[in-house]
Amino acid sequence: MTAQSKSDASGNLSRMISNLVGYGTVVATLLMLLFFLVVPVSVIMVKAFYNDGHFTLDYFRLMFANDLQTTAIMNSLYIGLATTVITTILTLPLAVINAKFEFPGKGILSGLLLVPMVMPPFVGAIGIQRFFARRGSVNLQLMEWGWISEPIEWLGGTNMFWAVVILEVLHLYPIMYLNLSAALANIDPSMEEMASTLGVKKWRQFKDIVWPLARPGYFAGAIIVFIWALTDLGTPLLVGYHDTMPVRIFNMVTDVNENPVGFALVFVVICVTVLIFMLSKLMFSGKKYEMLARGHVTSAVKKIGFVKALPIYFILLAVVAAALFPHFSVIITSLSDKWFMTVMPDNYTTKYYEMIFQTELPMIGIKNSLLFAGLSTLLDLVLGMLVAYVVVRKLVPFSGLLDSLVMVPLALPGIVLAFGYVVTYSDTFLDPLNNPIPLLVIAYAIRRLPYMVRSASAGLQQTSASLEEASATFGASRFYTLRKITVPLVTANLIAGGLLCFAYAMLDVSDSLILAMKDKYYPLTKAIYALFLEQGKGEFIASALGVIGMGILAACIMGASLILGKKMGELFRSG
Amino acid sequence: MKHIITALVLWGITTTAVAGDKLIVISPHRKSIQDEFVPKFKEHYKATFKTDVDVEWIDQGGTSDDVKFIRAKFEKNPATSGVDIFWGGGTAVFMELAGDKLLAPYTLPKPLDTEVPQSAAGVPLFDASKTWYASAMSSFGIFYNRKLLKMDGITEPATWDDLANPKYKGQITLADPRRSGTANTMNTIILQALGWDKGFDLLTRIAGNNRIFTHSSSDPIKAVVSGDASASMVIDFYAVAKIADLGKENLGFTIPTGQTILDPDPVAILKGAPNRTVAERFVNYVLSPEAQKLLILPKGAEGGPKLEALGRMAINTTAYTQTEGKRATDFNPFKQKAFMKLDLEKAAKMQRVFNDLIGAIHIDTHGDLKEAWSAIVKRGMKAEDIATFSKPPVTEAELLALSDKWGDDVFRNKQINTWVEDSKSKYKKLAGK
Amino acid sequence: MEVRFENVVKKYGDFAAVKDLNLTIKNGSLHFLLGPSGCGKTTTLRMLAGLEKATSGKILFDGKDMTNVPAADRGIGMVFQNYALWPHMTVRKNIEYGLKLKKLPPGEFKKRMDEVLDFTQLLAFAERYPGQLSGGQQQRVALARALAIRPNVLLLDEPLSNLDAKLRLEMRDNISRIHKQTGITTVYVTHDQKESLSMGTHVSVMRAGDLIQTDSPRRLYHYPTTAFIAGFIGETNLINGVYKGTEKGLHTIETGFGNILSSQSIKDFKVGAQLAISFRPEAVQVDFTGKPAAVQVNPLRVTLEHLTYLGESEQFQMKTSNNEYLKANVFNPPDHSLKDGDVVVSHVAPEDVLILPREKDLSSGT
Repeated sequence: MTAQSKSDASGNLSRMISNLVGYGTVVATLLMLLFFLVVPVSVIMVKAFYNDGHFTLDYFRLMFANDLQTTAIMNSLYIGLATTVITTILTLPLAVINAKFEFPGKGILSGLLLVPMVMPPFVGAIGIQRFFARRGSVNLQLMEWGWISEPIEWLGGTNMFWAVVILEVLHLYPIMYLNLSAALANIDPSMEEMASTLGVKKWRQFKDIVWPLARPGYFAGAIIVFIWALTDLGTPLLVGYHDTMPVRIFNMVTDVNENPVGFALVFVVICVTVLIFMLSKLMFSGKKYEMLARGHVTSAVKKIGFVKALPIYFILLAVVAAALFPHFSVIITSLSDKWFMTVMPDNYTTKYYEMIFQTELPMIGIKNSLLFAGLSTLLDLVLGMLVAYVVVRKLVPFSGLLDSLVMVPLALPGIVLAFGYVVTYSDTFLDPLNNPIPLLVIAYAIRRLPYMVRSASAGLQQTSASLEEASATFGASRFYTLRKITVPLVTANLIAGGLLCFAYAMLDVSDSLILAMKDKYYPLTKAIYALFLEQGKGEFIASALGVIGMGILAACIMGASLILGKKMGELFRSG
Repeated sequence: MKHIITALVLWGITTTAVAGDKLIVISPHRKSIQDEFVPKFKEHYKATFKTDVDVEWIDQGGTSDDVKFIRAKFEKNPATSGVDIFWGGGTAVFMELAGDKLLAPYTLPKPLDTEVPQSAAGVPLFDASKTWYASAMSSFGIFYNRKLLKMDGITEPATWDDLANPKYKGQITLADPRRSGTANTMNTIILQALGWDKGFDLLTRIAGNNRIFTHSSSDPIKAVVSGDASASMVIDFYAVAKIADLGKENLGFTIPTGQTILDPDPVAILKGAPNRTVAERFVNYVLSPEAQKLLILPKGAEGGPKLEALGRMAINTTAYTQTEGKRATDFNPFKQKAFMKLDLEKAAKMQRVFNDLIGAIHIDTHGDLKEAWSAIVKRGMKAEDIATFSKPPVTEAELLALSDKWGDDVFRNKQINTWVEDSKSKYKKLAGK
Repeated sequence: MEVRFENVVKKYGDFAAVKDLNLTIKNGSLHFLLGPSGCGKTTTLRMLAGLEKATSGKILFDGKDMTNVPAADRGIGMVFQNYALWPHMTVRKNIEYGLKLKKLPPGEFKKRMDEVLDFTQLLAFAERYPGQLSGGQQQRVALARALAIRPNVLLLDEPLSNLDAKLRLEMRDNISRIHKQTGITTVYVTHDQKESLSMGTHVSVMRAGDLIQTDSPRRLYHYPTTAFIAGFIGETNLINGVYKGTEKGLHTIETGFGNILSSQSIKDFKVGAQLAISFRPEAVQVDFTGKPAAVQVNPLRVTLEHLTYLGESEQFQMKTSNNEYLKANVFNPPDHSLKDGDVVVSHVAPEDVLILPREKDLSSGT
């Protein structure tokens, strides 16, 4: 045996081992999805099909026969649609500004535009109610000015629907904004210039050239916004609009005497979501226009000075101010002292912030949340990267199905997954009663997995497989290549996705409430919740803690936005 | 990277190994109860039994989730849930758990058995099978915003009936009884106090005045304080805490005279408790005069709570005799005349069906109900209108009969659908549509 | 259409991409803007198109000031370096898009479409998407799209740079043919001097924002006005020297390897002026016999460094006595026995030696 073939043999062996490890990780990832998504959800969802131990489809029949459920389904669809449409109208100018102009302070303003994504749970409701109650600050002020004589029911009656839509828009527009900005930035400016030379007016250029090219990116964002608004529980609950699908589900599923029709409804939501997702993939996957070589980009971004940018500042700041209003109201609440029936508090105090550091719970909460969210983000990085890799490079049969599967957590009411875990893993070594950390971390990770997979997929799609093939020609194994070539190439996407996973994990409600049962394991959100329910001053301390949480997350988002620029937009692509 | 992960894991898991006894309590109680009772119990335990006890306090964020958790545990292992004590959440929950034989009977030792009598003001303090004991009591009343009522030119409410008066239309906020144990108990009590027909009439008219059914029992308090609603039916200690914070001139709380309603908040040992002896000691302690004083003494008083007054009622007679003149309020439930005798058996039997009924015809169809009520008020409150409006779709006997079949979820949902349809068309007709 | 630039300046911040440009592009010409990348040629083209606004100066179309007229109203057709084909439209849609805006009568519309598809031989691909076409086909679509509207001026921005060598030759002919047939004033930007020599009627050479010379390809090659152009257009031997004086129409330049005589016209240099001489490799006559004629003008005693035999020609890399490298290119070389290391005496005729101002930096500026 020559030296040459000897080294070949050892190369083969190491390649085999590397492949073994690589495929092992992929299998582990798939098993992970099986055991922590498919099984626990199925265990719960089975209730939609059984009555007294017999299989039945009656719940579905009864669900569709009940006017209330069909109204709720329709209302939710309308909320989803209205939110998507308004978000589009709002973000289109913002994204165009972002894509076309360079002005002083752009980085910071773009970052600020993203901050509304983070809103700590529970405490937002207090702030909103303070301001928009029947005799809340806004009405009191308007009446003081004599603009109105009777209070306006901002959150009542038919306004509820629009109140929900507006809050959804203000919460979700950053996702659309990121997507549209990325889509517009990806369009070669010579596409428009060519049309200019042909004498095409600007608006027609937009209609005929820019829009068709940005459309796949737009729809990818729109679908996430639509699904989110469709399945969002928090906002309708905050407003008190109960005629929506997620609230109905929540009511029926969390009733002490739970109603299986609720699970039937969950099943419908999951199906609708997967259907929409697959449809969008089908419609747009073939129409992603790879840009040919790029032309000159000198004129793509127009530099303008402070004075010329004034209208832009006005628009951006107006949007930011509106979107941050709920956050602002939480801050005011946390600083208010004996605030009662006045437009603004008469007295301010920092005592609630001082109280945070006097009791143990808030600090435990912050510490735990950082730990759990951090670990779940690491898990997401691994899982998300592997799933995206497997799906994008089509390494397993039915990779499209796998892609849809990881989108399911977007549609899944939090409570279903959390109770699925409780039912499946009580009395095992994972029993959350003993130590909820493993399940909490996994739950956080699974629920945020869609963002990471989308983000990693976007990166992989832009990274030519030929770069990997080049590595393979040197005899590197597939997974050595993945580690050494592919992952470094998509690092930006992974960091961006990771920051998002982290932020949303910090804000998680359902899993935190249900799985963290002992106060030494309370994450931030459950600490906020526990304080919130406390009689007397609880809601103020909860608001103060919420503000601190907001601060941490806003810093994360701003940082991510400044570091990553337009790459942030790739995160939410669903296609 | 690996080092970071290890460090993170070590950071999170800092379990302190405790040699000694252990107790696991599941409780939807607020943190303030935990903070007052648990350290005192540990002290008491060390002093009495010469050994340390570690109390694990678990909560999933509310009564219904805690119950679900316990049920899920028993479903997996019918012998034990791995939890010793279920504490708090309202009698309805305990009646249900007892009915499903998930609670363990326990007889109190002397002298506790006499210090905790059979009932207070007509409200039973333990059930016949002695599976649960009241650990505290709260009363219900009307919490209102004085400033807001003045702005709207409405007099302050004094009775439950006031809340059903059309002048309170759009002024009230209530909690959803399917989600709030408090609201559920209040409804039950009103029904039993006034009788099925009259009670249902009152509840329906109040629903007509109601702005919104909230998810949590604490939301109505916030609605009243923030200026959204003028009045609500709430549990006393919430109201007392808010009034203490914001002033009597701004907020008021009244317990309608002669309509005192008390709600016992039970504690129970769960079936197959892994630490049965410690659990019994815990129950004994919670019911003891020493612990009960924590509920009724003001903050800082000797033997009283350290952080904040809890504002509840005790269930131990000795706790009252030992604290004469030192308590936060003079109210003593044992000196109250029975306003009514609560039939908890009946309440428990009908609870599921009744909540689904209220849910179907008052809450989920609330929009239509309000329109009907507005139309009735506009037409001058004709007696026949009101009679149609507030007539329950079933009699009490029919409702009780339904409860036997309520385990069949298909049957249950068929019935719910019928109620929804019928009430919707009734409300639409009344609204003149 | 005649296009004229008058004192046009384009600045990006402090950086002047185009410095005081004065240039006339004659009606019907195929005018090349030639230069290394970064020389300002594309910026000039984009200003002409109206895609870039001149910082100062005027751009005139047939004497009419178009400086502030938007691109849309200039009546130009443009082919971008990356073609800028709209990927979501078929070939036909791409081409007819601009035409549709012209609101032509249906008959005329169809006629023009057929004409342009036929012209560019794209009929067979009309229903395909750009992504399904080869580079050459894409290039033709871009050309067809620009031509379909019958522009006043056709602008081509490095149209062949993305094609392989063979296709490039083919497309050169194509573009020349189209230019001849349509007679449209065409401005063609490239960095490839061969394209400009082979196709252009006029060539303007730019460097670092300056227009250096505008001439016919032939004159540009033979009479470059600067050493830079001499080096950029074709190959040349560029040698620094000092002006010694003129006698009987022959100028004497002292170089490191002896005096060189030139009969080319000369700017008024003073004796002792630092300058440069340039002569083409093909102007160097290599002596294969080993017995050069006794009296020769401009003898170059050189050592052969490297020989590249190409059949129809042979390239010689040679070193002078002071170690300067010279190149010679011999067409139709005889069968000879010269080899590396041989010392030969070659010469260059005085009429082939150009005298140019000395460049501060002889690199091409890239």
